[in-house]
Amino acid sequence: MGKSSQMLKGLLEGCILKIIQEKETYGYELVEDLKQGGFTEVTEGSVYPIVLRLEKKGIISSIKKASPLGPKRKYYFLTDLGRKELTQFLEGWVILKQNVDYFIEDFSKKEVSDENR
Amino acid sequence: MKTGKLNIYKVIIQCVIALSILVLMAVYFNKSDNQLSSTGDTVLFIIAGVLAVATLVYVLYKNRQKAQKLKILLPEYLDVYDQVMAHVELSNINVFDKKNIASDVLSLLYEGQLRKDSVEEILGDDVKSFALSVTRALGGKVNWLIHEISGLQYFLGYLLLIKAADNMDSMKGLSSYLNATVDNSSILLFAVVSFIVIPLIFTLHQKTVFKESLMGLMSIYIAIPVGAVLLFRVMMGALKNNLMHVTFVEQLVDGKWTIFSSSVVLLMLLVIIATGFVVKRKIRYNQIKNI
Repeated sequence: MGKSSQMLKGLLEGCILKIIQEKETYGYELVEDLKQGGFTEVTEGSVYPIVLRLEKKGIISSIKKASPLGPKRKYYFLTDLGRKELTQFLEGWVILKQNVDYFIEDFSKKEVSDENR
Repeated sequence: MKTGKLNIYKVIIQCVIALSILVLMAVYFNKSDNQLSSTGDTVLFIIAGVLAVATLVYVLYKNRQKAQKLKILLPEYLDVYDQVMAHVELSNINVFDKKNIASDVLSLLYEGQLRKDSVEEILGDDVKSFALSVTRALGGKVNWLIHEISGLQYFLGYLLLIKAADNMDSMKGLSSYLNATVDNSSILLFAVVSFIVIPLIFTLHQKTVFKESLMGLMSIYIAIPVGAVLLFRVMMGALKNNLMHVTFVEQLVDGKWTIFSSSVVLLMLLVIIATGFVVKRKIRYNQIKNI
């Protein structure tokens, strides 16, 4: 469970960067988008520390805008560094997915055909 | 015990301590017949007095802030906000980031409250985990090294204050300006406070922030400081009664130390204090880098 939450943390970061690349967004909207994508367990409490760290590293930046609900909202957008990080994440994900798919889909077929020889 | 009730007890305890320190100061100065027995003790009492007044002002200011926040947040959300911010205040995060976090968490909870989401729906099941992950995200994890660096800064700051206080007594000449003599026992007491008592208080406070424990608060705010000073006085009394024939002990109990024999030493102390801030900042950035 610990390892899968570590994996989830890395993937969440990449997904958050992708969402922010598509549109300027704020915390609650980010969470709703992630939930729509299947990350049903995420809350603002789990997303906020991630965006905090990303902002501290200069990967995203923020601007406060008026909110219909009360205090000003922080809207996040990607920086140039963030665009590089996202590109690296997407490239890494493609390779990782290929490797994992091999073991999930092709490896067992290979084992069966080896046994039948 | 509800956190709201705990906060009331915390306010009462803080006010009692602050007032007690002021009373002790008044008794001390009244007893000494306008003759200050030791620059070190005097500076220590003045620091305690200033801290007592600052604590009273801080408590009143925080209560006013709390009253303003109660206009925005319902008590159950405000309790969570207070717990998170108490943890953040004790961390190694810089002042600007702390202010940003305060604003963000308030906004987060307020909008969640307006949507009628529960605290668990907003922050997750565990407020402590949320607070820890926030401070870790900004490299704010505090360890004993950071406490000791801060302790060194307090201690050196105390020595500088002694010099300033001693110098105000007479402005004779350059050599007088650069020399300050103080009791070794006062220096040792402040060293104990800087390197042991204050780190212990902050560590215990961090551990009890999320537990609703009045005993924990009383240990932090009363038992540790008072116990430490009493223990120190008992120890010095025992040393005076039994080991004065030992030169080191005699120096420790009755001796005086001339600090700042040159301006170079003064500059060195200022550089060490400034370096402490740089080192803490470096530790913070290393923590962020390693996440």
